[in-house]
Amino acid sequence: MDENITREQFIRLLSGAPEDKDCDLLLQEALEQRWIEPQDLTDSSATLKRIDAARIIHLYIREVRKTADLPDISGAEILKDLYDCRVCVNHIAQVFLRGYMDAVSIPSGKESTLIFDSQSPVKKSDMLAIISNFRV
Amino acid sequence: MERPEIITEKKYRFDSFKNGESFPGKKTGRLPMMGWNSWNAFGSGNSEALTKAMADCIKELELDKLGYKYLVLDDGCYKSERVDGLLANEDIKFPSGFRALSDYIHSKDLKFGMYNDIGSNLCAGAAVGTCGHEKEDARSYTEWGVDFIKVDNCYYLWDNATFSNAENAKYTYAPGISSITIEGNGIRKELSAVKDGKLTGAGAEITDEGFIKNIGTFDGTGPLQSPVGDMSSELTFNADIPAGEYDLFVTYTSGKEPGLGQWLQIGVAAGDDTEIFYDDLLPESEGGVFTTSEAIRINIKNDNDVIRLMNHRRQENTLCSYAALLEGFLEADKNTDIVMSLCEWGKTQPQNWGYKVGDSWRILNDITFQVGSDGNPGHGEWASDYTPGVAVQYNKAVIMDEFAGLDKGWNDPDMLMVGMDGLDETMCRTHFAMWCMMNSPLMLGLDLRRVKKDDWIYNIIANADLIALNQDSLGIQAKRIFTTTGSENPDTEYIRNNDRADILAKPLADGSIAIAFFNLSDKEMADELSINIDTAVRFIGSKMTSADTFASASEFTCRDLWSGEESVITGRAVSVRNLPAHGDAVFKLTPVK
Repeated sequence: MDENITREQFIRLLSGAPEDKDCDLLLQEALEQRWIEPQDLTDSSATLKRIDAARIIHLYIREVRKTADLPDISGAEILKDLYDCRVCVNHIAQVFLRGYMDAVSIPSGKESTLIFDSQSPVKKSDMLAIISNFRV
Repeated sequence: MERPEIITEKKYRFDSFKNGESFPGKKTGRLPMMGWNSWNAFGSGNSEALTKAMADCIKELELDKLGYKYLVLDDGCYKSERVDGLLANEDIKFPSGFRALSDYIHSKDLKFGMYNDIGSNLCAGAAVGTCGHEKEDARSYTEWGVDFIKVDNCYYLWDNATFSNAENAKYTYAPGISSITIEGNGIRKELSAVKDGKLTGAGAEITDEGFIKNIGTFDGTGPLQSPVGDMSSELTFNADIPAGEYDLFVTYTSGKEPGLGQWLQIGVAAGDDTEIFYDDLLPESEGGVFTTSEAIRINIKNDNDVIRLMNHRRQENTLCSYAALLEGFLEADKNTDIVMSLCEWGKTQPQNWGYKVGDSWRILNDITFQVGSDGNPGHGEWASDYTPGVAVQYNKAVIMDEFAGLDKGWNDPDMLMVGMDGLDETMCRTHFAMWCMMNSPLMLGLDLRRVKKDDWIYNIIANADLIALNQDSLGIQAKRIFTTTGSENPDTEYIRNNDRADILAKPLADGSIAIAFFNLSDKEMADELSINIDTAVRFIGSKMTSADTFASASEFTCRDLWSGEESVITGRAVSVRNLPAHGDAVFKLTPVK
């Protein structure tokens, strides 16, 4: 059974920090580097949702890896739920268009619709696939 | 909080929206706010150091002398949870606290603004929304010396807003209704919703299954619908029964989705005479099956009074939430001078009710979703299929002039994107001129450290002649008086096709008028664009201080508000030629003789 993961687990893996690094120190550093939000610190044991992962990845590549945002995000408009969350649009678009996180296909009549599915949890296998983008 | 507030006063009701009466604590007579907001520049990465740097820049560039006074901290400045029930500053980004930052800003003779939300959380996630905390939060803001509060709509408990439970639509739409039955005084009448009922307003529809759905207020967050006209529907019955008390039974099917909800309001009569007899969730019906309600006692005061089945709660709930915060400010300081910027994104059609509590109201979702960060100017667009883009916001705001005014407040097509990537100098000029003509709040959204006196960005945001239009004491939003689409109602027709040019006219306190030409299209308009002065007077004459003088004048001075050049017009036409793609021209006309 593929298990859910926590925000802290994800942040730890993404940062490449050793497993024995103190959790508070790890999160504090990430906060100071501006790639996590205060609620990631206070809710570090919360189940990681896809939208949290998108936000953290986007801020990580921008603030830590100094990767400029893709200016044209119109390609992400195939995601039917792209605009459901106004502060998440760019996070979702940046990670989707760079191929770090995939869309989710759901049946819609005889066809299917692509959504980002922001509120679903990130499974451990998803996390490992995401992290592999940064460990090549 | 398990359910929306019970509404006990008529002032919160839909039927009072047109009475022109604002609530205690809401100030009138204010011109559009000018200042800087952190969101477009830094997103949730704003900090105390950056905010202080922006205050310093405003002084160094002397933007305050032009009217830019408010510095507003947007989302991302609080701790993620309350501390002892109160709001608190995020320690890393705002280490000195909000009172210290407020003092710093006030020491520069500027004004301090902050941000919150009528839901449980802020849009960026912190669980510190004002819902249920209005009084203590207003007290905190008052203690911190906050002059301006922008109030968002995420995680709202009583609507299907951003991050809210999608099933909250049950509060904002009535159930599907197939019939009503009226019993009493020896009378029993069963009335079909489809055959005997009448649909008023706009939006409600008869389904193929023979019932009425979509009784509610349509969602204005996106750009699809016009902001002018009816925003909601009611199902009404003229029961043709004598005055007296009756039992009313409603046969319905409930849902939890837009168009099919669970909350029903039942009123009798109209306007101020309306009496509400039911305003609550009906019991949930199961699996699309129709069920009949318990008896609902109603009182018909006059023979043939109209019975109204409706749901105006989307607007009423949101008004109540903003009103609770305003009441909190009033309680914290009976002389409160707080400026309230409503940011519910046009979702509940605030152009109908926003004036009661707010100084401005957003009209759409955000103008850009690609905000900047320290070192990154962010990205803006001219147009898009959704709400990002200068033209998208303009297209809606430009026909909303009748909702705005000194006695009400201002339509807010969101913060300025001047200086963001993706918009060239021509686009930025036009963007700024549009916002000035439309009396929109002028909230700068860029890192002001990038601006130098007399560079192209400065020359746009510091154009005193254009700012004077926005801040003109007559306080009239410009009206669109012509568009190249050939519209017969340019002032009210919602036009989303940007392959066009518009002409706007705006009356000014000194008896002059401003005329603006806006080319929305991606192509130069080589043909002459021209407007007859009499056409302008026909559209805005009733709001001009001296329409007669204007109409009879034979000579006008014409000042180009970008170049400052003045010329004399002796005919009745104001014209431009070769208007570039996304370009503009703005003139001030003053009668000479």
